[in-house]
Amino acid sequence: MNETNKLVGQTELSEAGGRAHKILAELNRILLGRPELHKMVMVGIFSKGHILLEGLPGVGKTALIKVLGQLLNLQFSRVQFTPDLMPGDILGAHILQQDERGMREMVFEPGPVFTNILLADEINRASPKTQSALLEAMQERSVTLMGKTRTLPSPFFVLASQNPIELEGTYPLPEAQLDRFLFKLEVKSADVDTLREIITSRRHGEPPTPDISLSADELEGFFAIMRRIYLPGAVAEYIARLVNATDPSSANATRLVKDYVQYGASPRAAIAVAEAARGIAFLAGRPSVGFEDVREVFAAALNHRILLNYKARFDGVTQASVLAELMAKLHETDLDLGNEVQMTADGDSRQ
Amino acid sequence: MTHRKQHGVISQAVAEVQKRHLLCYASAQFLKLLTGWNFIVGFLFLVLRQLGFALVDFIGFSAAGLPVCILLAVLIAYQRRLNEEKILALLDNHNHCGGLLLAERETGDESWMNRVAEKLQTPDFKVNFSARIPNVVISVIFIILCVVVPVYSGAVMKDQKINLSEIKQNLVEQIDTLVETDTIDAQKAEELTKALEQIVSGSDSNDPSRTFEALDQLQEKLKKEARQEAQKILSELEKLGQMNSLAEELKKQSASGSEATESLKEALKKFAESQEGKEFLKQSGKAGQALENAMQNGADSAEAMQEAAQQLQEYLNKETEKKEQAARKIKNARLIDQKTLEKLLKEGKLKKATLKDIMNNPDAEVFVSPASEGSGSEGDGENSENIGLMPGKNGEGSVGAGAGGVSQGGGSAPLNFNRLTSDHKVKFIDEALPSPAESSLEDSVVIGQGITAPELLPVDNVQPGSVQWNQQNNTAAESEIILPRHRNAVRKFFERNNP
Repeated sequence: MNETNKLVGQTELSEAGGRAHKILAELNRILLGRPELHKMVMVGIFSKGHILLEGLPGVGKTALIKVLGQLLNLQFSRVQFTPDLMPGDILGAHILQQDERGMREMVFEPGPVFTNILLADEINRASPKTQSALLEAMQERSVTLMGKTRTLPSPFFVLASQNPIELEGTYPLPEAQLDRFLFKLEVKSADVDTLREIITSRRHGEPPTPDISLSADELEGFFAIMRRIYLPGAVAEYIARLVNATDPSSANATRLVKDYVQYGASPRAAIAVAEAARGIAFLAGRPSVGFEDVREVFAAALNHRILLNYKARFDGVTQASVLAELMAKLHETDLDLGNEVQMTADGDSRQ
Repeated sequence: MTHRKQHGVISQAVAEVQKRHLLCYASAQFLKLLTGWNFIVGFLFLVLRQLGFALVDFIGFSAAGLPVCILLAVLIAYQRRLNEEKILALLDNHNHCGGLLLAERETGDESWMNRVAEKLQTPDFKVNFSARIPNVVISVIFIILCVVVPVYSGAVMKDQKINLSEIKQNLVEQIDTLVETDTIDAQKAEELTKALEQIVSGSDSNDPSRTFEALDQLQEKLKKEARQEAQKILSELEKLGQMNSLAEELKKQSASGSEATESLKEALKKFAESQEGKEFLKQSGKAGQALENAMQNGADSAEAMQEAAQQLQEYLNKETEKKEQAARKIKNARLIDQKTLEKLLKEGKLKKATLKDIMNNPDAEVFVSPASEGSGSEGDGENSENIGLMPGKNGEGSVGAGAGGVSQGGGSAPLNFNRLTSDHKVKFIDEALPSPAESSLEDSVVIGQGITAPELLPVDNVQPGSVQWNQQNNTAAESEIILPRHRNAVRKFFERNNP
């Protein structure tokens, strides 16, 4: 057995997983009502991915990211995107300064991007030029200005938010930038019980301060374990088939894909799904990725990566319905049972 | 659980899945192969039946395909058996192992094997019979129909003879009747029978008209013979009638006790000299002897005359009855009809005749009193069964002249409106018909000819309806006001193609 192929030990994984669950539980305690959302955000963080949060104003997008920053003990910056925001306002700029000797020189003043967690509020309000300024930062985790590349702090996450209403005067994110977000999560409004608890326990809506937080080493340990979460070949093949099936010209494409999808997901989507599935397996305390892990993150990882045509708009077909049909039709193991042989309903774990 | 045990559990589960899939797939393939086999076998059996080689052992032959289908199905299923890697992935997914089974297999790290369940659940498979069963049922029905449904088309297409047994039987009976009544001799009968056999053997269902035509001709021949025989019977009955008169006279003379009159003697003499008399004396046996005896004794002996009369009467009765029977036989054989027979019997009744008639013209037809109605019945010996003679013109009411025959009814040959006759390839010679104008001229009749041009006479009243062409005036051209409703007629007239 090759050492590199050795699975994460049970003890190690158990401890790390337990710690992660505590952080998650603390997040759930502080921000009420959306445990699934919090879990996905945590998975995104462990996968070192950027997350796009879409929700109405006042649902707690900013609060979530702020608390997350506190829990993970990471530096947090917030940028409110406006139409007049310039790229230099995010990345930084060179400023002419005079030193003690009276010499003038251009000094780079880093922008808010130089942080661990960047909250890009209402990212769709900024101009495309400003939006594209984040492209290199999100992908390369570095910034190049005036010919000089500066590495961003590690870990670096961009947690962006956008408002699904009031779209006048906004600039939809280009596909190239959307593709760099690991997840696009919908932040819904809280239910009645959650609202009642918020009202009674949170004065002015201020969340409480977290009692625990992760250290940098712990977080780095999580990342190390994540790197060792094993992805079996059959699961990787499943991910590949799923992503390939989003292409309308693919042989595996379903009817909805063929009718309503204009462009399918890119290979970056497959990488994103694989990484996110590892995060789910880590939280589940398993050293390997299973098929159910893939199914859990598939919709969140791909719903912003497939482009629908106008017919879908007229027929009311959404990315969610297309991806749901895809997962229902495509079997995990791709077994060729023959035309006449089927698995029974009990045998199909998707039932 | 030890790792080895876990491996055992996994291997067992993999084998179980493989076995289940093999069984299901083999079942599906068996149904598919069985369907094809049934259709092939049924088709083969149809061909064999058409060629006449079908055997009862077909059932065994078709059943021999069942184990072959099973074996082939198992072989095909074995070739399509599932990959072990994929079965493992299926088991991992089915048991929510989270990729542990796969990870252990791929990395060899067994440290997590204790997390795998002690007994792995294996998924079930099922065969989609709804797609296969209808086809199998159809194939079974097809094979049953191939065995059960009789093949008619081949038999119909064969060249078969027409069923002429009934017709042949009738004709044979008629020939036999003619032989019995001495109408034809044995040689003639043999020739006719041979001809009949030839007609029957040469019959062809593709051209029945030829056969029936030949049979009709043969039938006509037999009827002609019968008619001739009837004529002959009638003439013989006439002669018997003549002799009956003689017998009556002899009886009368013998009853009176006196010797025979001169006229009687003369009549006897004339009769003996006549052709018929000579034949009679030669062939009649006892009656002829008695008559000869009476003639030799010069008819002086009353006893001899009485004896002669009696013998003659008996002879006449016997002969008459014989002729009647012959006529009835011929009628029963449908060679003459009932009307002819009745006429024969009626006209053949004996009428009273005089000796003078006999003496003046022994061969003349002797007129006797009209026969009573209802003749032909079996009456007493003296007056019954007397065949009358024809009154007058020869041939009047003759038997068989133009007499129609009772048909034999509908034939038993199958009607065929589709098959071609022997003349179907006959090509008609193209012949140019005369042009209509010439032909109409040929049939036309000159009704008149005027020397001046026709004059148009005004028509006072326009008659509704069609134009009236039958004008009284033959010299004037007919004129009529043409109305709009006559437009089509006028157009047709001017647009006709003149030859």
